[in-house]
Amino acid sequence: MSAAAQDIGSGGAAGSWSAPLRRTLRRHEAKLGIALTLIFLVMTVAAPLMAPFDPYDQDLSSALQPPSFLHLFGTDQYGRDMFSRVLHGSRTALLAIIVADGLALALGSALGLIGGFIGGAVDAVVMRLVDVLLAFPYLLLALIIVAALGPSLTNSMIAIGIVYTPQYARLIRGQVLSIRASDYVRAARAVGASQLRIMLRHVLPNAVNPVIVMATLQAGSVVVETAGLSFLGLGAQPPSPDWGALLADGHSYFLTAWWIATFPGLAIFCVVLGFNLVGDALREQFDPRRRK
Amino acid sequence: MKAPLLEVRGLTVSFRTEEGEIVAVDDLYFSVGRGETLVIVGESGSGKSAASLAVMGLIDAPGKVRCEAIDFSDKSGRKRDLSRLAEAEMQRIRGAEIAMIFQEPMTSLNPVYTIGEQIIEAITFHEPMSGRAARGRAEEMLALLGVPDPRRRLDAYPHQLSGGMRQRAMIGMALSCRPSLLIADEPTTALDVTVQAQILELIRELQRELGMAVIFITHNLGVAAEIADRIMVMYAGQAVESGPCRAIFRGTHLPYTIGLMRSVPRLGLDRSAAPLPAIPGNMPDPRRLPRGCRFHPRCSFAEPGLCDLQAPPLESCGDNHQVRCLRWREVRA
Amino acid sequence: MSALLDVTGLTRHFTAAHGGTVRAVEDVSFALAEGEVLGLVGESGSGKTTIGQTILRLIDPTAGRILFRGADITGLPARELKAFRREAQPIFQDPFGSLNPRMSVEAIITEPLIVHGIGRDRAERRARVLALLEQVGLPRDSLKRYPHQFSGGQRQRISIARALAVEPALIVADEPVSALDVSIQAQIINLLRELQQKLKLAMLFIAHDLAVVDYISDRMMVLYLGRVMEIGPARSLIAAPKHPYTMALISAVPEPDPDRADKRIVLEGDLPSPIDPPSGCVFRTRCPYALPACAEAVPELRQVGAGHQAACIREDIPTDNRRMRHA
Repeated sequence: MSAAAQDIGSGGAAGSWSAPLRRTLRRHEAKLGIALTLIFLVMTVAAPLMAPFDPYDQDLSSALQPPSFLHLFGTDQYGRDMFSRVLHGSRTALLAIIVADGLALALGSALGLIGGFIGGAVDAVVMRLVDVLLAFPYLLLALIIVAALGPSLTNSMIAIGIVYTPQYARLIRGQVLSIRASDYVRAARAVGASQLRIMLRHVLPNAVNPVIVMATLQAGSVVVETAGLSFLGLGAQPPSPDWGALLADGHSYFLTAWWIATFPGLAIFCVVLGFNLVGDALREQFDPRRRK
Repeated sequence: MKAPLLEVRGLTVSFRTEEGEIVAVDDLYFSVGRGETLVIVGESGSGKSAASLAVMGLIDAPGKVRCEAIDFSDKSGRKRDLSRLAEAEMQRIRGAEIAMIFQEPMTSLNPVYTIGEQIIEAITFHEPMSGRAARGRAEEMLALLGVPDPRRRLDAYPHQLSGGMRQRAMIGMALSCRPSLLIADEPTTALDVTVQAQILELIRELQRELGMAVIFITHNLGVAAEIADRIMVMYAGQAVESGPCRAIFRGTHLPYTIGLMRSVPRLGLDRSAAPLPAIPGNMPDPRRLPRGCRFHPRCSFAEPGLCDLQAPPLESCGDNHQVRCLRWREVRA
Repeated sequence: MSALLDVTGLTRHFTAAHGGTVRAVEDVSFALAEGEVLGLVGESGSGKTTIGQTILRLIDPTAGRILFRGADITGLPARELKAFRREAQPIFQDPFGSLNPRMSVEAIITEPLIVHGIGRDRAERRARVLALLEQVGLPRDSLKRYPHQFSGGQRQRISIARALAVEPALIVADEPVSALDVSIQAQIINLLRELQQKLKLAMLFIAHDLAVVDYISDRMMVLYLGRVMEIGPARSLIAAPKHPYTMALISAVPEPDPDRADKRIVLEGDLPSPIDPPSGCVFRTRCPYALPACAEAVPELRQVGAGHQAACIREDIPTDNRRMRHA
């Protein structure tokens, strides 16, 4: 290399410190996301062991205590330990992810696969159904469903699951269509492979990645929204320690006993952040442009 | 000898990836004279595109550009080092002094603006003038490019035009301010061969009219033969041969060039029993370049003990003709 | 001797997005003998890819008849096409898109064997796959690897191995080398030619690169806007083309020879829309020899030499013999 060679950075761009900074952040945000998600999962499993108190145990003499060593997150208006309640609330959050996200995934995939594979009139009907679902504001739709079925945690999760179905349906249908147009599927057809074989061996394995990314990113949203429904009293009913219900409990006390609403809120925030970071990292990993 | 219009010295472009640093262009030297056509011939991984993007200052992070100098004589006669200019100054150079056109006109043109709007934007950025004047200039440019009914075509969107027309629109944008150097990166590769013939003809005509120098990047030797004054062959990031067009086609001393010329099927070629003399092997992995000469694993002239140990320097082998081969004296087409 | 493939009046129309019919292929007829290579050459909009896909019955023709070994496969439903599918296989252009990224090389090449029940057990199938790998010049350890670990040229070899797995009689190769680096193209062309000669494969070789098609084909068919312009032995077409479009195509090919001094025929204008093609001869709008009569009727394929036909009403067009220099 010539002695007079000069390093002029990345060709006039705003400053080459941003690139390494961005790279570091990217590596660390994935780790942070994984850490948060793991902590969340540990909480759900170990809640009964980790919680110092029974979350339903009332003790009016210690009502509205601020955070202390005994009650890490303070107590609510009935003297229940907030730390234990938040810990146990993680279980309903996990349940929400499994049921709501799971339902959306299953239903959406079925619709997307049917529409993408069969095509024609069936596809048109499926897509219009999806459009109808999308057109409703999520809250309105959830309200309608819950109104029909009655307010409970299970029903609110079903409602959220239905509300999120269109996203999955569209994603999977898009994947099916684009994969079916690929040359390797055409090669399989040319060899005489059956539609079933094509679906199982070619389409599904290649459709999976974006679905995983979506499921991870949606997990966070699902937690927020079931909490939202619980907050409105349409989901988990008292005395359930569901985080949304805790927010509902705490909001009227916010100015005097800030801890009742704050810690559940923080918990929701951290879990959603964790899933989003992991989802983003996965999306980058699966980015087809990164194929080696 | 007249001072060159563009002189690139010691250009190195590298990209930092998760697998390490990949050097796309390695210590490249080349120059282009006024009104001259330099064709850079290379395959994928040769570094030809990275080199031209570096000249234009269009390499972004994670790419890194290092060089001794990129000297360019602008229209006012001043010699400037492009590698040391700030972005704002480079923007004034791009379009007005040096223009670039790319392979895929569909993705290089903004689909939501008409081609007229895009050409006018290019014009008014460098030469403030009234909308009407700019439109007039754009129309002139389209007519010069052989676009029928230019006034109406100005209001067409890219998707309404054929591939050849889009390429002309892109050339129109590039040339609207009469730059002294046009860098064309595989502009005809994605076009039909009859359209390619039209566009090549067009570029030649425009060159004569505007006195423009052209750096034309291609992997097609036929195209090179048609339009080049000088040719630079690149392989694995290095310049491996450089010289006048005829000298390279008639008297190359580089095994790679010979291999390329022989392995490309030509019309009317005698299809005797012998297969096409193909170059064996694959392009080297930029992260694991061979020791010594980068081409030696695929070279039929390679001498063990020499070519696999020593990296060949660029040597002169004729009038203005250089070659990067240790055995060039023994190599004949 | 009856032809392996006999195509008559093949037509394929598509409905365009905003109404109107795209006439992608219009009244194309040709025959292909066993072991013969027919090159389909044309630019964008010529219909050559559509013809390939229709022959393979990946899409249905709008009209026309396809006979394979004398049997009419034009309207056969999917179930009954399986026997045909064993006889005709494709090779595609894009080395990245033509292999399932989630399947190992072994799985990719074994799939055709499984679909057609070839090989009694896994060991037999594997032996077959290994033999195929050797035929296409890939190492044995490729079995367990995945497409992304191979280069473009190597991926095309995998595609070729897959196509040969069922021992077909006909290969439809759609631009098999266009997406490859120049130095690799020759390798794959050689491989295809070698395999074609050794296995006596009939081939429909579709490409836009005239020189490549000429090199590998016995006969050539020149297409423009869905119609046949000229068809005949490859040598004759190149040495003495009879259709103005063929002449323009030949003339447009850049020659790696800086001393080529000939005047090139540069076609005026753009490709007409396939939704609204010109009346009569579809090429007349860009033809330097067009007459008013050309607009009246679609020219028939007229005999202009041994096995050589051109769809042009003029007989007086001077043939550009420049290519003879290289013969």
